[in-house]
Amino acid sequence: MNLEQWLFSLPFRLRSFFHPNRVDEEMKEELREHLAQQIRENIATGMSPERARHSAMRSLGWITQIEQQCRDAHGGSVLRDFLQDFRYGFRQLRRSPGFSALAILCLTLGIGANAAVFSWVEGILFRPYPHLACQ
Amino acid sequence: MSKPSDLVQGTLDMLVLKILALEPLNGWSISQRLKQISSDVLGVSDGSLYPALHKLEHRGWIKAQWQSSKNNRRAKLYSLTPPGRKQLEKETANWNRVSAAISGIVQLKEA
Repeated sequence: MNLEQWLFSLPFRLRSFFHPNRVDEEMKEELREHLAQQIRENIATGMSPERARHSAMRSLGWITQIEQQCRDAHGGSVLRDFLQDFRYGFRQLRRSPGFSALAILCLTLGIGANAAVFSWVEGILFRPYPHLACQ
Repeated sequence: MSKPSDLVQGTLDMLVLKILALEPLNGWSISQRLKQISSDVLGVSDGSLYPALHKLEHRGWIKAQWQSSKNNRRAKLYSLTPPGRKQLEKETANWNRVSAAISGIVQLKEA
């Protein structure tokens, strides 16, 4: 990305960073407006309101997916995605406490044992007593 | 991401830039314009248009402005930025080069 392009994309980036919710809301409003306009157009061509609505929604596609693709196009909000993942992970842990406890115990013992063995190996083999080096 | 069928990858950006080079439009009008001009051959789904627009905006090639139109509706109008215009020139030149090469091969006569 060259400097000029970066400058022109700056307002958008700053807004995405400082007002992610507003940017998100506007994106949703834009999609709603698209639907509304397509429905009006469909009604103008003689469809019943019900059919006009269905047809418009079908041509746009699954709206939550489009919203997510738009968010991805922004490069996403790193912090928000991280918090979302974090909360999701935490909820998953709480859902099966037994398994979580077992997994945490295994990790604790594994890391602890590794650290213990390594410090022993380091002390004995990698850094023997200084007097051995003098001989 | 759902890819529009029959559309060479990456050309949607170029088409959108070209359409916006003519006049600023909102998303719905862009989709209508795409359908009219290509007489539905390209089959760009409305769903793939919006992520493309947001990507172009993120790259600084187009900018968006909310404008309230008649009967109190707010419309998000997209327009080309100077880097967008350069990008369009670059992509158009590239497209002409590649399509000329391909049609040259396709039109070879059998001996």
